[in-house]
Amino acid sequence: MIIKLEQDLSKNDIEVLIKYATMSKDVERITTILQAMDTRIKCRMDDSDKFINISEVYYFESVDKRTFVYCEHSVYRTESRLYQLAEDLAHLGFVQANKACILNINVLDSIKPLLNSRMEATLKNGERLYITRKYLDCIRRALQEGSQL
Amino acid sequence: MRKTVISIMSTTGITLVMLAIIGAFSGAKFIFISSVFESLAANIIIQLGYFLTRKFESKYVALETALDIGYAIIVLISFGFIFHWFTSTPIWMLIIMFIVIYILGLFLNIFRVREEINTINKLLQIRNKKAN
Repeated sequence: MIIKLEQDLSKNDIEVLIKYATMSKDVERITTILQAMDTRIKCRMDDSDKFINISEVYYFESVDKRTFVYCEHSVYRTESRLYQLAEDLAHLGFVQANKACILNINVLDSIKPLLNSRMEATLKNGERLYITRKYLDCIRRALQEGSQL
Repeated sequence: MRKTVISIMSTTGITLVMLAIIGAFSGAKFIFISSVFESLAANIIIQLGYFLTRKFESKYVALETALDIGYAIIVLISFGFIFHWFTSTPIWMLIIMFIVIYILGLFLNIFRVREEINTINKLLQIRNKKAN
């Protein structure tokens, strides 16, 4: 892969052009990475709004009809509904882990079975989440499709 | 779909073996063909119903399990009345049979889930290696 960087003072924003002979998984992956970098979500913390880059999000959780955004060290709130986020962010590697949680598979470190027919996911920051069997197949498929941020 | 068919076939198989064991102990010599189809039908209804019961998710696993067991027992008792099973098998025997089959099914599921988890962890290792 050839990477060329070119400074153009007339540009206000970063422009990325990907040239390829055939559409491959690698091209799709690069596109996903760029899309994720360019996708932001409006969050709220301490009465102030902030736009968070989607690739920084570890998982979304719905508690009492409120949606929380969990990053590596911080937690925010968002007005978006969980089902809406699941639909919008599926192509960026976000999969349902249980009824109330959408996980970024790119921060998933490992999964282990628990005794109560559930699974425990360990994230890259050491945090643990439970996964229900129903969604295990979605996680495997997402990993096999290989969308990586 | 494939998993559901496998589940139906394996639970029907276990049901028939259980039936044969109980029959052998009570001096029976054969199983009626109709019993085979009735067992298959009951297992199909139970497995299809699990699609609905498993939409219900609780933080208490015991509640989910109780729903699964309760639903299956209702199906079995209904089938028992429809196909006159209780003339030869008492209800308590049917419930014990179901509990044994349910436990065996749970063990089969544990193996299947472990296999799936191993696949996921291997995929994660490959991704993490690539990312590093």
